[in-house]
Amino acid sequence: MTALIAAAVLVVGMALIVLACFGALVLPDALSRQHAATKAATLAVTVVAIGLGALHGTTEVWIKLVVLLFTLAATMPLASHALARAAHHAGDDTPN
Amino acid sequence: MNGTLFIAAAGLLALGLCLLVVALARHRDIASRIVVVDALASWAIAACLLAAAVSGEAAFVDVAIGFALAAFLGTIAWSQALATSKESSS
Repeated sequence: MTALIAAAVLVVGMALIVLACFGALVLPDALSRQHAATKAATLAVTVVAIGLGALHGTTEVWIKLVVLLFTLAATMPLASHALARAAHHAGDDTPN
Repeated sequence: MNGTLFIAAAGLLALGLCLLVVALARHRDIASRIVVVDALASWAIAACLLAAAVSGEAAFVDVAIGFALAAFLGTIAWSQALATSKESSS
């Protein structure tokens, strides 16, 4: 039963990834696309990681997943900020 | 039952890749393309985690960590390149 729920959580995470990709495709300008891509992707990777941890719940896997999520939480906002700043300075933040 | 859910997850992942490739081809401005490449990195991390789930190999999570770090450096480098190229051209 736990394995089934874990696999379902994995599918939910993948659906969030599709949502992020869809947002990156259809939204009108670079900043909106980034809004969709980074936030949804961070949430999706977190959900997928929880699903994986529940599926193979060894201590080794959980420690690695915590390191991965910490890495993402530390780097994603910095990368997003740098990219948004560059897009704004480059004038690419208007709809096209 | 688990096998069906894994196939559904892989199908969604493939759909996401298709959407990203179309986005990469359609967007004309450089900033949007960098956003799509960033989203591709997130996609790859999710793919690594799915591979770990299907195979039961914890080593795939190490690959995902490496991917997250490389994607961070890549995005910072591309943003810096975009900012400096526009500054020098204007």
